Amino acid sequence: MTPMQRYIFVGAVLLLFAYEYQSSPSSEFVYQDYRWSDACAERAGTVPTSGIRTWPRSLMRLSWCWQDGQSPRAYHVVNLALHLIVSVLVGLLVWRLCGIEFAAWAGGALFLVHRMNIEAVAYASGRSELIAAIGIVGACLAVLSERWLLAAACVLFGVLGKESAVVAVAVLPLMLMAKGLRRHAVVMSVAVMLGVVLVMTRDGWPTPSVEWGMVQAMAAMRFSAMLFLPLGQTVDFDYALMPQFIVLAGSGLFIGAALLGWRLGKCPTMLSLAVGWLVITVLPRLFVVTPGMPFSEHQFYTPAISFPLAVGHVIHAYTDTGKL
Amino acid sequence: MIRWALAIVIVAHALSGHAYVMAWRSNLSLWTWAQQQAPLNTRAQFNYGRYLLAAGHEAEGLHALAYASALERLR
Repeated sequence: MTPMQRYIFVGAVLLLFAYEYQSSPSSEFVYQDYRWSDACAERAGTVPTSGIRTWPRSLMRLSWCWQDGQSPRAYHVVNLALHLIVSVLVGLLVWRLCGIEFAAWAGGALFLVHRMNIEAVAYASGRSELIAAIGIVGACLAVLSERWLLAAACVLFGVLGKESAVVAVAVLPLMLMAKGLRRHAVVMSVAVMLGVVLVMTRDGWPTPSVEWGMVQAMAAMRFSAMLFLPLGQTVDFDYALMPQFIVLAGSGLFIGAALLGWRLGKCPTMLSLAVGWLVITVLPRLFVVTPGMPFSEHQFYTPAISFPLAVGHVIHAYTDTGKL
Repeated sequence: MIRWALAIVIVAHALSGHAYVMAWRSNLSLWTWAQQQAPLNTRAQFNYGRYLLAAGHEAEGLHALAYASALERLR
C-alpha cells in the first residue's frame, strides 16, 4: 500500500467507527454499570461490598475510581479509546504472524467495527474485557519479539483488568509455535498444565457440570457463527429455550473445532492459530461456572480475535496465489 | 476482488452496528432491543416491563409484565 492509500484507508475506517459508535458517548449507565460506579464507595466502606474487590480486577476498579464523579460520557470515551488500542494491537499481531501489511490493516479494521465487539465497548462495564485483551495481545506481540519480561508484564496487566486474561499463558505457546520454537511451546504448555494442576489442587477443582459445559460450548459456537454473520445479537439470549439437539450439535462442533485445531497445529498456519485461539480462550469457560447467565457477547471479546486471524489466513492464501 | 469483499464487510458491520450501539443508550432501549430479539425470553420481557413502568409508560409496562407472567407460567 502506498502512503496515500494508507491515509485514505485509516481515514475511512475511523469515519465508519465514529458513525457506528456515535451514540455511545451520550449513553447512560446500563445493566450492571451502577455496581462498578459503587466500587469507590465500597473502597471507602460507605456501601456494602458487592464481591468485586478481588485483586485481579484492581486496575478496572482503579480506572472507575479515577473517573468517579464524571459523567457516563467520560467512561464511554475511555472504552472507545481502549477498543481503538486493542484493534491496533490486533492489526500488529496479524502483521507479525502472516507478514502481510494489507492483512494487518484489514484485520485491525474488521476488529474495530465488528458488531460482535459492540457489547464490550458500548457497555461501560465491558472495560475489563478491553484491558484484558490489551494484556493478552500485548503479551503475544512481546513473545513474538522474544521480550519475555514484557510478556509477563502484559499478562499481569491483563489479569489486573480481568482474571480471565490468565488464559494468555495458554495462548502464548501458539505464538511460540508460529515462531518455530516448537520445543519452547511444548515446555511452556507442560508448565501451564502443571500450574493449573497446582492451583486447582490448592484452591479446589471446579465441580464438573456436563450440562453447563455443553451450553457454554454451544454458546461459543453460536458466537463463532456470529463472527461471520452477526444476526440475533441480544444482551439476554435465553439458552434454556434451546432444544437439546442444538446444544448437542453445538458441543459436537466445539469438539470438532478443537480436534481440527490440534490436527492443523502440526503444521502451523494462520488458520490453525485462529482455531487454536478460539478453542483455548473459550475452554476455561466450559469448566468455570459463573453466576447469572452463561456466555455473554462481551465475554467473547478475546475469543473474537480469532476472526482477524482467520481473515489473515484468507488474505495469505490469496497472496500466495497472486490474486490479491 | 478480496479487497472489495473486505471493504463491503467492514462497511456493512459499521452501518448495521450503529443500530445495536443505539440499543445500549439506556436500560429501557436495551431491554426493548432484548425483548424484540427474543420475544420468548421471560427475563427480557420482565425487565422491559419494569423499565417501561419506570419511564412512566404505565399501560405498556403492565401489558409487558402480564405477558412475561404468562410466559413464565408456560415454561
